[in-house]
Amino acid sequence: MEKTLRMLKYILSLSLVFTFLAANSQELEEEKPKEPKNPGLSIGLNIGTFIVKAFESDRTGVEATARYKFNRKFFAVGEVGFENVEFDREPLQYKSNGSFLRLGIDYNIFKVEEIGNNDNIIIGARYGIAITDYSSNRFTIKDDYWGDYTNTLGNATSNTHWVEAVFGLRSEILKNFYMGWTVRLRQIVALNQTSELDPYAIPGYGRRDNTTNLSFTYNLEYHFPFTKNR
Amino acid sequence: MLKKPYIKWIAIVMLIAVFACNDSSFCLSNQHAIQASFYAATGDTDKDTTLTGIYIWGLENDSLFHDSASVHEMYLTANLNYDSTQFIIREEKLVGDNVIGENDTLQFLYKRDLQYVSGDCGMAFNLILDTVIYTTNIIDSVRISYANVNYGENIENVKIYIEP
Repeated sequence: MEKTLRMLKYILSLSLVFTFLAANSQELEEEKPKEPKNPGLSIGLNIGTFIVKAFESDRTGVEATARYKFNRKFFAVGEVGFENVEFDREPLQYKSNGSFLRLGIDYNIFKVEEIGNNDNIIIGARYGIAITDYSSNRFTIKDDYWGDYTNTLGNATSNTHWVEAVFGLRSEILKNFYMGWTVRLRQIVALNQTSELDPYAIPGYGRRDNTTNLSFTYNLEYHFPFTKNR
Repeated sequence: MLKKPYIKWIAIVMLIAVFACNDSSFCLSNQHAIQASFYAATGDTDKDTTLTGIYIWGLENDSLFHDSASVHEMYLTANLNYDSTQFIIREEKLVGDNVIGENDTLQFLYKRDLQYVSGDCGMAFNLILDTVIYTTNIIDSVRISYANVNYGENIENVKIYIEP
């Protein structure tokens, strides 16, 4: 009887060891395969500039994006564009032409739950520079007592430098075709100008009235992968 | 594709963006007016004085800033086409059945400094008061207490001392 019990104990222990080993090997088998880095270059257009045009018809701009994907997490981003502004209001007639360049990085904080999911939640930073030529052919300071003061301000140039923090989402809606938006907090770090007149809007930055701006981009991008693996 | 919890964050961020884009700036008027007040010319400390029967207008302008009014504080609009502006202050008193009036002339000399306010409000002149030249029929003396007449500021620039 004692011998039988010892045998049962032995069988039970052995089965436990086998179960553990089997489970362990299962875990090893179920380890997720590594997500391919899928490096490549995305070229896109910020259609947010056309949305701005719908709300502020005085401003006309175009912005293109180039995004180099190092791996699943890191992207180097360059954004370039121009903006022209023209309006004639009671206190001010204004005209400007300018262009800008923004360079920076994006970091993807979105954890992949499925292979082939290339969606991104992005945090990033940019450094922006813009050059604007602008002038006012007429400005009027209202004075009900002595009469309005009217004068002109000739051609001027401004150079603006700013930094921005980026948060956004980017989703692959068709194979290699992405749609995404970002919200950006921008802060001017340097502004040099040659006139008493400030630029009304700084290309790539937004309205000049504030030294801090909250802005929005809405991008459509096509990704050109450098490898065939996805 | 992104999952549902992220849609909530998308909505929140978009709402913040929409509200942040609302521009609530408004434009101020008559910001190049020199603020002056009457004070009694007696004692060591400034004591407010209000004069009655006061008429104030700009030289070579028929419009009155004050018309037979009781005045302590006044806003004298500077002429932006020039670096100086002259104003007439007239005080009328009833003595018996007769009205007796006396005039003084105040001339403000200033520098004009053109400033950008905003795209919606345009430009404005800030003034830097340099000198005040005046006659002394009603006025005892004049002192510039704050020389800058700046857009958006509401500070007394000139103290006019009156002999009681």
